[in-house]
Amino acid sequence: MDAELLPAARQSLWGRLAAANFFLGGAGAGTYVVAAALSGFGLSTLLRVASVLGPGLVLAGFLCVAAEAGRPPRGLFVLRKIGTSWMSRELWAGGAFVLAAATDLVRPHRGWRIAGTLAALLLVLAQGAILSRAKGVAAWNVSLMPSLFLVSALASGAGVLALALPLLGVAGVGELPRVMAGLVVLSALVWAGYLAWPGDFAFRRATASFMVPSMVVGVFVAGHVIPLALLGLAIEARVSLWSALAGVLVLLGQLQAKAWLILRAGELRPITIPSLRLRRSREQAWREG
Amino acid sequence: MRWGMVIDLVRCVGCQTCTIACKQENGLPAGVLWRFVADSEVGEYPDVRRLFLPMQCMHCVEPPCVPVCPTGASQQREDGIVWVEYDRCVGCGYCAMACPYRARHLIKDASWHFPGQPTPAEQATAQPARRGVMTKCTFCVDRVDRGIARELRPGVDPEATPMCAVACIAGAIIFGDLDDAESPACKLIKERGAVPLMPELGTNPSVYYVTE
Repeated sequence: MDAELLPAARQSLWGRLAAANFFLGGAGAGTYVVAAALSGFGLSTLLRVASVLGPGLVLAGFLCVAAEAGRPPRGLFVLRKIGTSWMSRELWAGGAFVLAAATDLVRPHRGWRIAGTLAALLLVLAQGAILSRAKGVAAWNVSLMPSLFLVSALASGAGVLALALPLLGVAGVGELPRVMAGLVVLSALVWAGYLAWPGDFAFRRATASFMVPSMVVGVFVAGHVIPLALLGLAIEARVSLWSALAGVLVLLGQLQAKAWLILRAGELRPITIPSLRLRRSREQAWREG
Repeated sequence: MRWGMVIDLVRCVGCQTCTIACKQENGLPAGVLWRFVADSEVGEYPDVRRLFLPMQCMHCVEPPCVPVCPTGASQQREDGIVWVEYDRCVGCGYCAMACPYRARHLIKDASWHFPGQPTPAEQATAQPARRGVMTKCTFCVDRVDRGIARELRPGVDPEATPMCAVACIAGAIIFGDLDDAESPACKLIKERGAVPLMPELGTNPSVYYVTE
């Protein structure tokens, strides 16, 4: 192993507001995608709700991240490098998503829904790609990150819908609990896959902080296992209250997981140098002849 | 032409003169160091070694900080120097996350050493354009460019050489053209087997370290 000259250190530039953007952006885009898929891109109350909630959450996320930037008034400069920067692509995709969803509310058309869904998908993939291109942070610099963000966003989106529909007095969609259960299972698998990812030593050390009771219980038990049980009840008894409760727990689990990813696992790589020879002690030199 | 640096860790005594010279030359505010010397201890007893590691921007040939920049503020010149155009930077911090060498420093707010107001020296060096944006080592690009304009040779003539290399009391920092096989920097890499930090990341740094 290369000699480690400077130990890993937690990054401090991206704080809670950045984590909030990754969570809200994913939840907002996921809400729209799940609603559009369940509606078959047709006009429905479910999609109307998602057309308001989804862009709202995404915009809230952008506001959070803008507040964390050093020069927020220059925010539109971020659109300049769509050819190379995933952060640029995130903003373009987010803007296109908000525009398509808003236009569909005013002038409903299937084309807007398809465009909105594609932009929402691109938005969450871009968020994952932003982290996967961050070479300075070992826990983020893995190719699984876009898939992780995609699945997390869809599970969060289903959670938002399950929670919002009863609150807004909208009749539940029969398929939502089943779809949500599938997404929760997929999310558990992807998060577990991420933690078992065969990364380098720096990655393994940065992600080891997940293995504490509060994280395992919060993310996996409360954020996945219990929601699955509640969704089972909701499917059996056709009671939307169980779905709503599952939605809350899924959202809290995904929020905790993403906050951990940014704030705790976000460690700057240790600085290493190859082929650094150490002076042998006289005792060792004597032992080795 | 590709500007680069070779740092002889055998010579470095960890005096931090380069750190202060850089800070003074570039008028950096309190708490911001574009370069610093880390005091490292490597190995396990009884095979240990104390090592002073000067850290700065590596001016990578494949800088991961440049393509990720969403505004185009992070740029690379033809001579390899990586720099930030302050007027374009939004201060998002993405380049700092992409840099594996911790070489980027966001100047969040104006902060003075003494509370309340800046000292005369701080006032003299304060650069409002740097507030809220990402900053980094530039290989003292102004000195290099001015020197070349005066037909001086960077790495040879002090007026055309980065301040850290000029100030180093041990002569441990050698600046030069890495594309010129006859430059002292290039020769040192070849003769002493200098290595870059973390070559496995594929960034191809332009700063090399002599370790033995």
